[in-house]
Amino acid sequence: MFLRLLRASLARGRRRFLLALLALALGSGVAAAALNVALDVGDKLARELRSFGANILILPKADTVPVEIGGVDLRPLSEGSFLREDDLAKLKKIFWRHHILAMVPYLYQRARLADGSTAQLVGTWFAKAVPRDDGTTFTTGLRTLHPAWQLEGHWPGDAADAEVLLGARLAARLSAHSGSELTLQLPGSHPTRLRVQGVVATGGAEDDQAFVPLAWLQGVTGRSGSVRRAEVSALVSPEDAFAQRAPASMTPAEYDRWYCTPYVSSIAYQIGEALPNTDVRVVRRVAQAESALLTRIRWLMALVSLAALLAAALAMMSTMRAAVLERRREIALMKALGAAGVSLTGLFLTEAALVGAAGGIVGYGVGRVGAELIARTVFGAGVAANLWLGALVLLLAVGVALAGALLPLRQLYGYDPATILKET
Amino acid sequence: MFWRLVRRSFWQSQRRTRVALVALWLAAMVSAALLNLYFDARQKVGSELRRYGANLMVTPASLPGGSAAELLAESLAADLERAAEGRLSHVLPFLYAVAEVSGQSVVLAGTWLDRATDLRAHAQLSGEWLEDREDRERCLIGMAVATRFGLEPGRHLTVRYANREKRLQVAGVIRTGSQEDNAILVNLSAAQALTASPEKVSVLLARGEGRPEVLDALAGELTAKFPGIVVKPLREMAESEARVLDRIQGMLWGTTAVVLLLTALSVLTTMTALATERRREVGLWKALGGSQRGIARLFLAEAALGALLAGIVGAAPGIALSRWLGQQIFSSQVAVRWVTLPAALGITLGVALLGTYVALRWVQSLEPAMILREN
Repeated sequence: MFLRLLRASLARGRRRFLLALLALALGSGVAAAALNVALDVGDKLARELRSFGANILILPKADTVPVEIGGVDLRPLSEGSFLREDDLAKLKKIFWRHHILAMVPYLYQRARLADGSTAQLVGTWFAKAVPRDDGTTFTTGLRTLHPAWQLEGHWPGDAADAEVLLGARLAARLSAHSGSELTLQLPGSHPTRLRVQGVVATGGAEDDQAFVPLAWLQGVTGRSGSVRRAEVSALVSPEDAFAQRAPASMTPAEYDRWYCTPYVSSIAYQIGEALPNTDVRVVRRVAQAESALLTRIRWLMALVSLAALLAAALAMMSTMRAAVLERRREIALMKALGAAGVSLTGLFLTEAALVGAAGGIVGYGVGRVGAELIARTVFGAGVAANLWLGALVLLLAVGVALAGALLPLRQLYGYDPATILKET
Repeated sequence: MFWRLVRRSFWQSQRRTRVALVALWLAAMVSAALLNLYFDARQKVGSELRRYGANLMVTPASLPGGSAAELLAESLAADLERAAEGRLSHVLPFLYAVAEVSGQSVVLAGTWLDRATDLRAHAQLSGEWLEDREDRERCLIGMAVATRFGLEPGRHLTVRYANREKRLQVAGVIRTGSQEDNAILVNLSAAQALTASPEKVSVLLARGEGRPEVLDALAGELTAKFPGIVVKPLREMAESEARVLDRIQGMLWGTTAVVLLLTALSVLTTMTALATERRREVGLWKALGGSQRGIARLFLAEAALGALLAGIVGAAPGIALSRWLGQQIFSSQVAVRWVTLPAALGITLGVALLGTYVALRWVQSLEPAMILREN
């Protein structure tokens, strides 16, 4: 009886059903799109913030004090200690390995140029394929650490070839450009010729430096396998008071929670575990600014999502309300014929739930397409599908449809059916 | 007559349009809050991004390629700030030298430590900071220097440069995770005295306001104005900043649009239901010779009345909300811009009229005879 009533009601009120479905689908679709974009923008912004530079620095332990100006270690290679280049691959084995976006080793050496002046050579990775445990490789280097760098020409390769990427001011001074050749002399060796692959302008200290493949610099200086330091760019969660506590003072449960949260401090700690005899430092300027911004962005996202959800709920509710009120005569008639309140409510709520579920599913699909469109036009990149968002939207649609139907139903029960029937 | 009709029908339908009114009220509130926030968001997030450090660097025009680097005049800091007329802030001079401590090379950096608020904010300090720019007897040392030479606040160290020596007391030990950890920080005048380069600095760092293009223009203007120097924007910093800001602003716009769209939807459905419910009324009106426009005017006037009411009640708390949000999100005051009030009101009105108009188009397609016969 119940099912027959339900079927009959859905079939007869097809227009009404479709209208409600449309409104619910549109409402939940827009909410889904907004939420999807908002969630993804947070992640995108967090990655965007990573272009402000590395947030973790790895140095050898038991070292002399680095003589560092403009980010370059000026000590001669005969002094101080070194890291092992091979060890960097271990960074992709730590708990938060997927949060390590880039890791870049550096080796520094001054060289004499043909005109008698000197230039700082920086041996590094450009886009090196580092093997991972699962047989795949992870590509990292200056290109991934500084995606915003604009260069004329090409990036040098990572093989031990005599190639160089020149800083813009150094290139201007030498009137070099991509394709030209550069002659320089390393201490205690013969002049070497390097091919200029590209010129990079950053406005900073890099403009005076010459970037060469690490393998080449290690070869010509006889320092194979050694690097002075490494910079790491890790995707992190904003730091709170808890993150700043010393791990030694935590209870085991707290320690687990800290260890399993991608705080910059816990990632640095895990790097320290993977690379013994190193000094892993958190670059506080970057880490603090990033943390503050991420906190603010999270608030903003919450606000945006809440506004979208609220508006969607209201839109869907007004539709359901209208749909129920439209059938007040029908309800009054059923009641006058002796239908129990409970079974009437059951009928209408089942209908509402069905409409809500259908609207939510269609809405999620519409929302996915919408989010993709928005992300492509605004951010120039797609968004990742979010399954639990689908569940949330479905739940929202059903919940709101039920609430939207229940409120006017309760109101209608309060009236005497005779009044409603007499109305027309 | 018209207004009596509007008034009566408005109050009668008020109960049924309640959801739409709440939606309109929400739309007014959200658009007022986001519009008000919008103006300040860029600046507020910008001030947060400032923590990442300087975005302009001033160096001598001839290159500091060799060891005999040319230096800038210290007075340039004040001159630049004056010439930029408020577009430049936090100008800080730095003088770098590679000095010796117990036979080992250590970088000595001189700056105005009393004005290095940025460094101070992110450095972890044990001991005390140097508050006085004229303090030439004390220094701050980086954590690596402290570890290497076994120093702590209160102890002394002797710094050698060329043939000069200076005994300094350690005021504090700092940890920043970057190059300051490996350096001895002194006041600029102390560094100038030790290196015998009075009134000279190696580099100036500054903070400029605005988009990358604006910074480029400012840098070009200053480079042209002062011969012998090059002002360069730190491009990566400036561009990343602009991108982050654009995205946040885009998101605020997007949210406002989404909320307005959904509000229009709820007005549309409510008005459609209302019109359907009153189609006998409408049919009667039409049968009695009432014009289509008359009905449209009645409905639109009703919607406008509701929108204005909801707008007025919603926009004011919206502005208050934006102030509260500003406090929560940016921990600073958001200025109230009164232009957002009429703007939010106008938007709410527009959305209500749009929703009603679409609903009317649909209802008006009905034939009066059909409706009246229905019963």
